[in-house]
Amino acid sequence: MNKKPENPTKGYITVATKRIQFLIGAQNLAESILDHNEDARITLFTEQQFIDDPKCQQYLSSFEQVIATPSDTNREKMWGMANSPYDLTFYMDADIEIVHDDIANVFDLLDGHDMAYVNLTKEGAKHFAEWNWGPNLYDDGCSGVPDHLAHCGGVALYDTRNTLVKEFMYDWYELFLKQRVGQWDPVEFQSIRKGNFRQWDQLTLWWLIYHSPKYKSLKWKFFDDNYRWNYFTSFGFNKDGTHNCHLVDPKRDYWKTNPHPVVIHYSSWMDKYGEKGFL
Amino acid sequence: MKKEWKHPFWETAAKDRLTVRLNITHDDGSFSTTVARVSKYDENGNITSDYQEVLEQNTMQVIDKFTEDRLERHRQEREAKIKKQEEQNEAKRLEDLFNYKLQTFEIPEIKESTNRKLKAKIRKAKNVIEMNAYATILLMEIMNEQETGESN
Repeated sequence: MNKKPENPTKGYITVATKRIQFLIGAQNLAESILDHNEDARITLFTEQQFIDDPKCQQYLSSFEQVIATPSDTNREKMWGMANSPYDLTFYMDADIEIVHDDIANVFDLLDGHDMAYVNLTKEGAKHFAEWNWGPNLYDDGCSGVPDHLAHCGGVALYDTRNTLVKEFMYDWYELFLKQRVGQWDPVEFQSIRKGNFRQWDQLTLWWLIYHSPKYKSLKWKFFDDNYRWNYFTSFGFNKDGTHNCHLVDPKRDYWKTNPHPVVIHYSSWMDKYGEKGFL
Repeated sequence: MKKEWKHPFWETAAKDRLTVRLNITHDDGSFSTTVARVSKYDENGNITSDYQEVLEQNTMQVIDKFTEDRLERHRQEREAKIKKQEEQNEAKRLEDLFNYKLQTFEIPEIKESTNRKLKAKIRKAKNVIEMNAYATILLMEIMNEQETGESN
């Protein structure tokens, strides 16, 4: 049992590899955090080539630390998560923007847990490329192991004072890299006979959370005000300024009292790779 | 042969033409189904036998109910489609706006500015006009500062 030091350090991290567009997005994310929390500590994980490139220095100025990733895969994010310099860490994808002051208080939401994630709901499923492979769904009352990607990898709140959490993130990184090239295919994956789920790091996360004996002791939760912490742009924005958490998350009721998202995730129609836009 | 006329609804407000699901069980036991259009009158102005059959199997109230339910369903589908399209348009508009903001922050003077208050206003702008207005104010402040610095 790890004894957790008191007065934990708190900070935000993001990861930008492969393309400069993600570096630009990461800087915008950092600036949007600072708009709402000017004392925020933010670390960027990026490729050494970007750190060394004089043209990229302009995108690094918003960060407390810039740390080189060991490789250039598009999933260095888990390595970054494992190497967070902060005790309490809120990881966010680089194509996210912060739009609410509650970002400053996100660390309070762990509430004694080791990790917190956004739950991908049944009503939100049509917004995801793949979601379920069987009938056991949380939103239909399943209380065991769900047959769907329940945890979103776009944001994650976690406490690295429990060293097992860091090992969890390392294993997530290592196992996913093996999973996607077919070198790791645990028996629990054999029930997945549809789709192309092995391409997703959320499947690795599903296995680690529900099937890995090593991590049974980890305490995890979903955010109570779930999609406030990862509101995909494809969920829609209404002309009157309201959002649609009530449509994609009808089983929860946070949106009745607190309907405004904190995290906007520009991940749907964005041209992330080039010609039409920056992201 | 057994003919069943199912779920009829009026095609016209004059109630002289119906659309009906026609299920036929043939003498050899085989089954076929089709969507049929049934006119009330034939070319001579006489009531058609198909129409009479439909009325024997379905009351006028039932047909009116099917018709109203169908219209209501279509109205709701139309409204939902319009709403979804509006949401998608708005999401697309905001994603485009997000890209314009990133481009604005690529202007060297704005990127290097330490005026967090105005930069935050650019980031939070609700539309391109507002974004441009704040970007212009920020650039003018920078230019004024430069001019003041030069004159001193």
